[in-house]
Amino acid sequence: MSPAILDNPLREGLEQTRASDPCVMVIFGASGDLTSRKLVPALYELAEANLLPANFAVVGVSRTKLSDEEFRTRVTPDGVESHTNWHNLVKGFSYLAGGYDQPETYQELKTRLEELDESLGTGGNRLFYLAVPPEAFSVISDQLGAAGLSEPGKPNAWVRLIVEKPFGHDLDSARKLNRELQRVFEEGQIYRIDHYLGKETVQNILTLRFANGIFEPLWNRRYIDNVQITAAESLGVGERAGYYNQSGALRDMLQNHLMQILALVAMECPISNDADDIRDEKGKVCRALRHYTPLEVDDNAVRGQYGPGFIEGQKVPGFFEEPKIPADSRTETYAAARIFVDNWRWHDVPFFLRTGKRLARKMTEVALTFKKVPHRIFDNGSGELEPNVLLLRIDPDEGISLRFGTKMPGLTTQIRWVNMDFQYGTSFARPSPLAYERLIHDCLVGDPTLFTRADSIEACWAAFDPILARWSDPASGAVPSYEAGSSGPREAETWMEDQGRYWRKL
Amino acid sequence: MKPQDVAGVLVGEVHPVNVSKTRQELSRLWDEAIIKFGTDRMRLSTLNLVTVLTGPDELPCIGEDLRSLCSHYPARVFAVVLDPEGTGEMAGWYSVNCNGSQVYQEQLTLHLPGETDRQLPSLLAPLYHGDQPVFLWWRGRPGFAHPLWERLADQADRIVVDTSHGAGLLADLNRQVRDPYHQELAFSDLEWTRQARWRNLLAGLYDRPGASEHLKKVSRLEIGFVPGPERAESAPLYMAGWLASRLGWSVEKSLGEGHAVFRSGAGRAIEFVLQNEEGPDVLKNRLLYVRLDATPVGCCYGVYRKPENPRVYVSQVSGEETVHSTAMPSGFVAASTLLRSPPRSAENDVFMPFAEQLNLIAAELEVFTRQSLFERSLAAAAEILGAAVTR
Repeated sequence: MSPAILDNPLREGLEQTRASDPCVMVIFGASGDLTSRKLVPALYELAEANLLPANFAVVGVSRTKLSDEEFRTRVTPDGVESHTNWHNLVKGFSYLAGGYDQPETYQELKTRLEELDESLGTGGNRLFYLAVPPEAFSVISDQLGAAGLSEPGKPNAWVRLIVEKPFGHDLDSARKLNRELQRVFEEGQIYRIDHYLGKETVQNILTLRFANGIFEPLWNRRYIDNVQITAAESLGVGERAGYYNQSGALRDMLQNHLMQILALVAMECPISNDADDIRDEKGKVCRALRHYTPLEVDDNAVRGQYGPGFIEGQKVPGFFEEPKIPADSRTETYAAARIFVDNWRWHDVPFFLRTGKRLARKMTEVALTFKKVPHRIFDNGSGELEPNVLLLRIDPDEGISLRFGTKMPGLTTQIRWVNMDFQYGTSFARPSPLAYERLIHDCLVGDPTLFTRADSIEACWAAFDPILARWSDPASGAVPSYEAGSSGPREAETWMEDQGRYWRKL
Repeated sequence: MKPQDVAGVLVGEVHPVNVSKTRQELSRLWDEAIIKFGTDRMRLSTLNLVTVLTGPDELPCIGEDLRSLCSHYPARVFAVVLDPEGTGEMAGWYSVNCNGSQVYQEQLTLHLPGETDRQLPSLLAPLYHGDQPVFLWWRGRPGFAHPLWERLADQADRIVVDTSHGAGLLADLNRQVRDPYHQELAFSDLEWTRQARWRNLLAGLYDRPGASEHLKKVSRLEIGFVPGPERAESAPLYMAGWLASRLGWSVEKSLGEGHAVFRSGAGRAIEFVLQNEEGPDVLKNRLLYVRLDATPVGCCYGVYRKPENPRVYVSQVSGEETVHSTAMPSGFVAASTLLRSPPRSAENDVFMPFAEQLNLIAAELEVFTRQSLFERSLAAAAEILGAAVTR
C-alpha cells in the first residue's frame, strides 16, 4: 500500500477494495489477442467497480502500425461502446508503434509517459505489462532499463513489471530469464502472472484450510491417501498449435498452473496473510519436490497424444491432423505425473497431477482422497467401503464437496455414499471477479501474493527437468495415443491401477 | 389474508401450515420435499432471516427481493406480516425452493392479525437453524417502540434497519445501538450501505500523494440532498457524520436551518451546509453532491451526480497552483503538480446504478459483526442532529 493511501484517514474501515494510485499502464503486445481478450476487459471491470483511479492511462506498444483511435476500437469489449465507464476509461488509451528492440521506441515512450505525468498527474507510477512472446521479455526489459524507465523517477513513485508465462522452458532458461529481468528490475518489482492463481476458488484453498479448524488436523500423511489435481480440456491445440508443439502439456499446464495449486494444497500455514509469508511457504513446497532420475521418470509420469475422436457428438481431428504439427512430433498433449513432497507432512503421499487436451470434458479440480477406515465393522454387500473424498472444484461449478457414507433408512445397516455439496456460485450473490481483473488490481496496488516468485519457479523447473529430459529422449519410446473425447491414454489408467488406485472420472 | 395474497412473496410451492404445530408440519413438508426432489439433495443454509411488515400491503414491496435473496443466500426466511386491524387466528404458509441442483430455501410467511403478534417470538425460537446467525430486517416501520422489537432483537445476532423510511429514525437507531442491553447485537442501516460508493469515491480523491494534507485544512462541507416525503434526514447526516468521525471534528453547533459548525482537533472551525434541493422522484432521499473546500489552499474536492444522468457520479478535484505552492508544506510538490493540471484530468465519471433494496440487503447479509466505522459515524450523525446519546 502506498504511503499516500496509508495517510488517508477516509480510507480506514471502508468495505470496498481500494483503487490504485494514479498511474500509467504500458502494455507491450497491445495489438495482440491477450490485450483485447483479457487485459482490457479486466480493466473495464475494474473501472466498473470503481477500482481504477481517476488519473489512469494506458499506452499500448506494439510493432503493428495503429492510430490511437484504431487501437481503441480494436480493444473495445463487446457491448460496452455506449457505457459511460468505458468512455471514461478509453479516453485515456493511446498507442505507440515501434520495435521492441529499437531504443527510439523507448525514448518516445519515455516522452509520452512524462507528458502523461504532467497532464494527468500520474506521479511517475508505471506498470509495464509484457503481453509478448517470451523471447521478447529480456529485450524489452533491457531497453526499459537503458531508457531509465525501470526505476521510479519521482519520490514515492513505483514501477512494476508484469511478465506473462511461460517463465522459461526448462531450469536453465528460467534461471537465465530471471537473471536477465533482475539485471534491470528488483525482484520486488517483478510480477510473474499465473492466471490460475487469480481464480477465486484457487484462492479459496487457503481459506478452506486456514480459516477452518476441522480440515487442517486431517491434512497430512496420516489421513490422506493421495491427492489428485486435474485440469482437463476438451479443446485441441487449435490456433496455438505452433506454440504448443514447442511446449507440450507438461510445460503448458503441469509445471506451472497445477504446481501452483499443489503448492497451495501442500504448504504449511504461513505466519501471516502477507505476500512474502505465503510465498515463503509455497517456495518451501517447491523446494521439497522429489527429483527423479531419468530412469525413475518412466515409473512416475505418463504422457499421450490425442488421436481423432468425438467430443460432445462432434467429430474432432487428432493432434497430427492439426495444422503446424509435424508428423514426427513427440510433443505430449496429455501429461500425468506422480509428485512427492518430501517433508514431514507429506512423506510418501502421492500427488497425482493430470492434464490433457481433447479429453472428455473441461474441468479442473483437486481431490483429496482420505485413507479408508482401518477396521471394517459394516458389511456393505460388495465388502468394500469407499474412502472419503474432499473435492475442491475449480472449474466449472466452483465449489467444495465432501463424500461420506451414511446409513440407508431401514432395518439393516446398508451404507450409502453421499456428497455434501457447497456451490460457490449459488451460495453468494456476489459474482467472482475475472482472474485477470484480480491480478491486475493486485499489481496496481502492490500486492504480490498471487504472483510467482523466482525461487519457486526455479525450484519447480528443477523437479520437472528430469521428466522433460527423459521424454525428449527417443529411447523413452513412442508417445502413446488416446482417442479424443476419452479420459486419456490407456497407459495412464494402467499406470494408476498398478499402484492400486484409480483416476477420478472426468 | 389468503394464500393467493401471499403468492407474490413466496417462492416455490405454497403450503398452508398449522401454526400450532409448525415444527411438526415443517418436518413433514421437508420429508415430502426430499422425496419429491430426490434423496441426494443437500440443504445448505447460511442464515436465518426475519423480516417484519406492517401490513399485507407491504408484501409486494419486498416479495421480489425475498425471492431473489433466496436464490442466492441459502436461508430460512420468516416473513412476518403484522395486521393490527385484522381479526382471527394466526396463519402461516410454508414454501420450499430448490435452486440449481443442491440448494434449498425455505420460507415461512406468517400473518398475525390483532394481538396475535405476542405469540411470535415463542413460535420462531424453535424454528431457527441452530448454528446459523439470525438476521432481523427491521425496516423502520413499525418503529422501535413496537413491543415486538425488543423481543425479536433478543433472538437476533444482526439487525438491519432502513432509516430512510422516516424522520427521527436515525436518532432512534443511535439510541438502540448505544443501549448497553444491545451490546452483543450488530446493527446496520441500509441508508449507510447505500452511501458506500459515495464514501469510496470521496476517499479515493485523497489517495493522491500529499492530498490527505488537504483534509487537515477543510473549512467548509456542503452536502446537496433531495428530501423525500418521509422527511428522513439520514442520508446527508451519515455523510457528514462519517467525515466528522474520521477527521476528528466535534460538533460545536448542531444542525439548525441547514447549518452546523464543527471544530477540528486543531481548533479550526468547519462550516457544514446542508442544501435541500428539488429533484425528480427517483432522487428523493438521495444525495446530490458532497463538496469539501480547503479554503486556505484554495482547492475543492467533491463528488456529484451529473444533472443530465443522475446515475453518473463525478469526482472532482480543482484548485489553483499559485495558492498551493505558497501554502503547501515542504514535500508537497506532488499534489501541487497534480492540481496544476487541467480540470478534466482530475475528474472521473463513474456510472453507478442506483443501489436497489435487494443489493443493499444482500450486502448486509455478508456482514456478521459489529462495524465500528458505521457506529462511530451514526453517533456523529446523531450529534450533528443534536440527539447524541452518552453511554
